[in-house]
Amino acid sequence: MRTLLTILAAGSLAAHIAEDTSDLLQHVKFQSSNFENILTWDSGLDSAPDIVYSVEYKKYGEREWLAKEGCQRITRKSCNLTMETGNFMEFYYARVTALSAGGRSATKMTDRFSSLQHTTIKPPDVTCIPKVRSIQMIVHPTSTPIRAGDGHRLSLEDVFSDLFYRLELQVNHTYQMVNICASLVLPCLGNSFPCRLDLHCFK
Amino acid sequence: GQEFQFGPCRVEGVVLQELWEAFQAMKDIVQAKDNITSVRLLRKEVLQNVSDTESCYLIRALLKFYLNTVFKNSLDKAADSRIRKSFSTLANNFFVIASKLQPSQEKEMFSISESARRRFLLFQRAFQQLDIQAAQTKAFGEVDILLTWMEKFYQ
Repeated sequence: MRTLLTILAAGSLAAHIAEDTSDLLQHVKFQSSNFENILTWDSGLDSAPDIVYSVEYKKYGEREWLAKEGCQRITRKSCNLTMETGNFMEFYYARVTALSAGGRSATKMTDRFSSLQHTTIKPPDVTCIPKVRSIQMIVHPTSTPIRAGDGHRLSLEDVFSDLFYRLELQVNHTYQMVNICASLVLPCLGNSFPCRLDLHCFK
Repeated sequence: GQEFQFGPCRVEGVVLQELWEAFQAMKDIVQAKDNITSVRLLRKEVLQNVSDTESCYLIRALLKFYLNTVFKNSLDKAADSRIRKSFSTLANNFFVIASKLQPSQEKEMFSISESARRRFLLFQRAFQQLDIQAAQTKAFGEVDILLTWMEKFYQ
């Protein structure tokens, strides 16, 4: 009988120790656009305001976690890991540790991250020069934070060799207006990127 | 249409985009099950700087391993019907590619095939150092690494 009571007591103690810390930390994930890789997370609805967060990251396959300088014991809920995850052919993990003033802590890790597979592509910057009988459109190449071996920054065209642009002209005869939309299209040759990206429209 | 050209080995009739879509449908589920983040089976030493002629030997060994060891008896574990469909797409296409690869067995190709074999053994040894279930899950979750490498030979 005494043994049973001991087991029950130990069980309830164990349950108490493995307490729920989801209020400290949730949704740890990368948000990436044009290869700008930002780690973001949330705290629970009723979380205390005095929680501090520390970020670590590593390449998939490596043992050691590296502390991200500038994101140790911070109170904000995001951290820019663009430089640390800059090799778009590599796979990475990041993790966040949340620590409350009362000493409670929680650590959560991202899914495996590859910017080549996960980044979303923003519409291109376009300059529009109206002429007497024509409109000149200059589509500016989109640069990325990725650096080549010689240090120069790669553009999206460097990363995606089969990328092309689509310009759409929407003429509104009633108001004598022309709506021009430029989008950036990645043929779905290989990876799983969306085939057509957001439109950038202006009058 | 497009085909794979692993050096002298050519494979037609496989649409790489379908393989990507099949894998993407199950990637998050499979990779989430792999919590050994400190081990990568398809490391740089296995796939980097592979010559065209060597690629035929290497891809054949890898695909046969995936078919015989990684995918084998994984299908019955794939309870979710969506995953079963994706799984079949991947397995069937890997089978088609592997069966069409006929690397040369001539003597003068021995050093190249040996180099491919050493690369494959790096992968296989890393696989064998893990518990079989964890190793199958990890190899499954690395199909995107394999597809990214195969894409270089897709023209």
